[in-house]
Formats: sequence, C-alpha cells, structure tokens
Amino acid sequence: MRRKKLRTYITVSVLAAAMSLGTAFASPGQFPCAEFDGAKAQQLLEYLQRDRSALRPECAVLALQGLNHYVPAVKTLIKYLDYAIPGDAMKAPVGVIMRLPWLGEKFPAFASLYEIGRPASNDLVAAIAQDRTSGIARANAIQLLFEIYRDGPSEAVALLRRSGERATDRRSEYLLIDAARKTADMCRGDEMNRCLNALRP
Amino acid sequence: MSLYQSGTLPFGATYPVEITGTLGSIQHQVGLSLATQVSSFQVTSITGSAIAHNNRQEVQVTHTISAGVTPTSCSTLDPNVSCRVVSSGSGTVTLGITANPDAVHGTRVLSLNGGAATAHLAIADYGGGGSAPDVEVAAGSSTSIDVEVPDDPCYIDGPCSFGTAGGQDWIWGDGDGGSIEVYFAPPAGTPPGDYTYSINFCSGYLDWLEEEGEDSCTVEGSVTVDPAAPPAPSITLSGPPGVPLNAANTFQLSVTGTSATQTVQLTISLVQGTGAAVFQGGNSSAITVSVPAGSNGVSVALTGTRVSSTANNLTLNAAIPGVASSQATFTVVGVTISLNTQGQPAADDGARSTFLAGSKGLGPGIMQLPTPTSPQYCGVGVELVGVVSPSNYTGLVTLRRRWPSNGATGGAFKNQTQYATFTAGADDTSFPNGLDNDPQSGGSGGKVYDIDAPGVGLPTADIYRYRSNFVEYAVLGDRTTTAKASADFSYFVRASCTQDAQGNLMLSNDVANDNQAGSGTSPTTWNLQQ
Repeated sequence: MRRKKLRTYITVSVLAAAMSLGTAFASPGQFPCAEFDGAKAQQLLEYLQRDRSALRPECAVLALQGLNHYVPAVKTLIKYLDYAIPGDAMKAPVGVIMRLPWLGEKFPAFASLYEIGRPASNDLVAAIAQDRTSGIARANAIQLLFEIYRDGPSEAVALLRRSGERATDRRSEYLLIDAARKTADMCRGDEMNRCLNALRP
Repeated sequence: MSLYQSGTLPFGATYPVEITGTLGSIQHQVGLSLATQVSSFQVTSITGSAIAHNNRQEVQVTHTISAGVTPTSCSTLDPNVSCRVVSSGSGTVTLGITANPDAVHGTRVLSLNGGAATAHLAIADYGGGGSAPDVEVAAGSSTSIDVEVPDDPCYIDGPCSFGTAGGQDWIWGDGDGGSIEVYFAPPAGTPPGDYTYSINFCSGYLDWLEEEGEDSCTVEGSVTVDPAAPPAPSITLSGPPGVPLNAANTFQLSVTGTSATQTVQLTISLVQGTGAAVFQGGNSSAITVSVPAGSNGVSVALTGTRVSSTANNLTLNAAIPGVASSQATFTVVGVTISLNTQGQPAADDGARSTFLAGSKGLGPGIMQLPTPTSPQYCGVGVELVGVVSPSNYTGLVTLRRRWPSNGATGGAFKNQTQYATFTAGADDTSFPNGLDNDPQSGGSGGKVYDIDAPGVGLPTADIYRYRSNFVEYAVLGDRTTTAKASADFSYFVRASCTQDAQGNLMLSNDVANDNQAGSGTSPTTWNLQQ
C-alpha cells in the first residue's frame, strides 16, 4: 500500500553545495502557493487544466502533488508526466546519490500517479500509444507502469503487449510493443522469465 | 288526636286544620297544615332511562307516575348529580338531571318525594364541549396520552366508540374500543408555547352527538411545547490501528451534541491474548478527560507497554456513563530491524523488482537507477528488514531513515577533499519506490522493507567518495508519520568511485575496507581513519 498526504508546501532538496568542509548538504525549501490554501482536489485539477504555459510553477507543482489520490485527475496528471520540478531545487551535491533514485522526486505527476496506482494503468497505456506524447512523458509512463506493477512487472508487460496487438494503427502498435519490450528489459531474477513470456502473443 | 276524612284527597294537597285548646277561661288556637300522605307510587319512563353526561348540562326526562300522585322533589345520593322536578301533572313528571364532570359514569338511583318512588339514571362520560387533558412536551420529542372515548349511547350494535385527534400537523391519534391514544410530536424547530389540540368523537356512532350538536363533538386541550431538549451527547473516537511499543500514538476524541463541557471516561482493555498500553504521562489504563463544548475534541496519547500477541486485541473505550460511548480497537506493535548487505533482496520485498532493474543485487556495485537510461553511479545496495510483532498486524509500518543527531553524519569527497556534509538529524527516508510498508504484502507475514542504494557518481575523472552513517527506525503509518515503533538501528554505507582506462565506472578500492555497508557506525573521513 502506498499512502501520501497532501502537503501544503513543496519540499525539495536545495543545493547547498560548497567546496568547504562542514557545509550542509540540504535544507528544506518551501514554495508556498497561497491561492491553494484549503483548496479541494477539483480546484487543483481545474488549475492544471488551464493553459500550461501560464501556470505559476510553484502552484503547478503543488497542484500535481495534491492530486495524489484523485482518480478523476489521472488523464490530466498524465499530461504532466514530463513536467519537472523547476530550477535548481532538485540538485543534490555534485555526484552524490542520496538514496535510491526515483522519478517521482523530479516529476510530481509521476509521484501522484504512483500513489493512485493501477486505476491509472489504462490511461498510461493510452498515453504511451499516442504519437503526440512527448518522449519524456512516454518514458516516464513506461517506468511508472513498471513501478505500479512492481509486485509482478510481467503484468505490465502483458498489458502493453495486449494493447499493442489491439491497436488500430501501426504507430500505436509499435509504440506499445516497444514499451512492452522496454518494460520486460527491466525485469530481473525469477521475474525475468515471466516478463519474457508475457511478451509472447 | 286523630283526624279522619272520608273520600280521596289529591296527592300532595294540603289542608288547613285549626286546633283550639281550652283551659278554664284560657283558650289558645294554633293552625296546622295537613298534607295527604302516600306511602309509595310507581314511576315509569316514557322516554327511556335518563342518561346524563357529566358535563353540567341538564338533561330532562319525563316519566309516568301513578295516577293521583304528584312528585314534588327529586334527589340522589351522589353529590355530583343533582335532580329537580321540572314539572308534574296528571300522570307524568318531568325531571331535570345534571351531572358535573366529577360524576363517575354508571347508574344512579333517583329518589322522588323522599323515597316514595325511585327512578334510574345513567351517567355517561362526556367530553363534548368540555376539555381534554393538558399536555407538555419538548420540541423534538414526543409523548402520548390515552383519552376515554364515549361508548354510549350507540346507534349501531357496538362497538361504538371512535375518535380522532388533531389540531397541529404533529398531533394525531385515533382509536376505538373505549379509548383513543393521542400522540404529540412537535419537531425540534417548533417554537415553544401553548398550542390547542382537539379530539373529535363524532366520527363514530354516538347518537347523542346529534342531540348535543356539532360543537359537542370535540373537546379541546392545551399542549405546551417546551424548548427542544439539547441532543444527547455523542462520542466519536478515532485513531490509528497501532500503538507503538514504548512510544505514543494519538487518538482523537470528540463529543458532539452538547453545549456543556463533558467529562469522558477512557479505559484501555485487553480483549484477548497479551498486550498492554497506558495513557501517556502515567501508568494508568483508565483516565478521565474533559472535552470542552464546541471544541474539535481532544487528543489522547497512548503508549504501548507490551506488544500484542495478536492484532486488534486491545480496545480504547470512551464513555459518558449512561449517555454515550465509543470504542476503538488497536494493536501494540513492536518492530525489530536488521540489515541485509549481500545477495538478493527478499522475495517478498515489494521494492525488489525496482531495485534489481538497475543493480545486480545488494552490496557494492555499479548502479543505474531508477531507469535504464539514468547515469551510472557507484553505490551500495542495502535492505533494511523490519520484523513486525504481532506478525498478523495489517496496518502500515514504514522504515524511515535519518542521519545521526550526534556524531559523524558523513558527506562526499572529491579525492581527499570533502565538499558536502550531511546534516545531523536530517531526514533521509526512502522514496516510495524503495519501501514496502505493508507487513502482509507478498506473503510477508509481518515483514516490512526499505531498500536503499546510496553512493556517488563520477562528475569528473577523479575519485569520488561517499561516507555516511544512518539511523533506521520504524514508524506506524506511512513515510510521513512519526509514531516510532522500534529502537534505533545504526548502520553505515561507504563507497568510492573511479573509472577504468575505458572510462567505465568502477569502485575504487584505494582505501581499505571501503565499498561496504554494515551495522554500527563508520569513520566518515576520506580514508576511513578516525
């Protein structure tokens, strides 16, 4: 189970890299978005459905994070799968891997869709199949499907493969079968054979 | 002295008689009236037996009497019933009978002329034109009364009595068989005050109603509506499924439906097996708390003192005795943490596939996470295992991580120069992709996991080093909660990264005992010397 509460502020790691000893690595940074104080999920969703280029980044990130349990927002969240937390905020000290990396750290829509889980699956598949989906969004969608099905990634492989077989156009079929292969490539250990089997028609 | 008169004198007539007394020359006279005396006479009703209702309204009834007899008086033994001779003539007498409301229904004997003749009278209960009982009821509540319904006289072959009640839309009632039950249920918003209600007896078959007229069909009463009583207090008790061993978790207690501060009794009870908890700040399993009116409630912290032998075997009871109560079930949970630094993650570790997608296993190695296109780095895979007691606990248990508050935290080095230091006490909890916080997922049977793979990449062609001490601990709930359910578990990770002649990343082993993880603490200098 994965649960996450709505945060009022975006908390990100702030680079405080320095070349001198004793300099702190990180301290919490907060990006308040006053217009979302007490906002409900529907309001956050409506905000994200505006012209993306006109959104205030701090508010967009907060809205994306705040929809982490709101299934009606899935389609909109998927459109933001390539929307990265802006600026230098994500940088850790040069070269340092603080913890097991995660795309949700950089892409807030990824984190929210991960929390929503399997109910987002079909829309993720649809996004992968669409030619207009950006490369980053598609790659993130593939990774997200793999993580949503982390207890059995072969299910994600099978889902993509079946969807590809049912695609009505060659381009979508290619994109989905390619996604199935990429997902299967991430399988390891005893899951690897199951993933390879799931690739077969 | 005797007086004889031949012939028949009319009944009730009086005759003057003068008596003269003489004593010598003295003579005295006195006048007397002589009345006829009749020992008895017969009365027979020609309109039926007299029926009087106990409503102070006179009923007149005519009787035939023996010829030659003239009734002049009428009485009863019941002080609530009066009788008078309205008129008497040749062979008949008309009596006027009045019964007041205190007269109990039933039969009375009318005595004429001091008992010379008798007639019978029926007293019937009567509401018509009278009053019904006064009633008091609070808005938002209800009450009912039973009212006797006249059953006599009836112009059908019974049962006869029937009545209906009304007057307000929150007053209703009907019934027969001798009584009507009238209900009063003013809604909570009913303005306080006096209201009139009525009972109609005319919907049945009482023939006296026609005699008495339509007005006599109903009786009216007053119902006083008091202000609505405040709703009964209601207790809401909510809280987490688990209380940590040797630490506290918080329950929320609120009382609604009251305008007064409420004193609530709280009790911790063991339902089965073993396990114990006390209220924080004492060793008691029973306390009382005051919940101010209008507040959002109060927080009540419980501390686990003995791990539950099975899940959900303790209850927290909240009660306002005799008024309201609520209950929450919980488990006292303890977690023991251990560390895996080699081999493969556990098969029931939900983060296993995510981790293995970019690494060969636990321990030191070249990682490529989180995606196959991510930059490579030198890291050390570690798997923290939390064994949950009781093993059938189903709530979330998350393994969190922070840097030590005291002592060396660690940092990053370029060759021998430190360029970053980790903040003492700062949180470093894994992202969701590294956590398995469901103790039952994958058939775990009471295990939770935290996979981590910290390390360092190679921004330039140098040796980059990573040194860190960690404190791992378990919390009940998700990765944002703080209800600590384990002892601190200290461990360290250290790694150094360089590249081979072809530019491929590789672990640097120029410092002894580098590139490993283990329990306890590590020197955090570049060369791992104290």
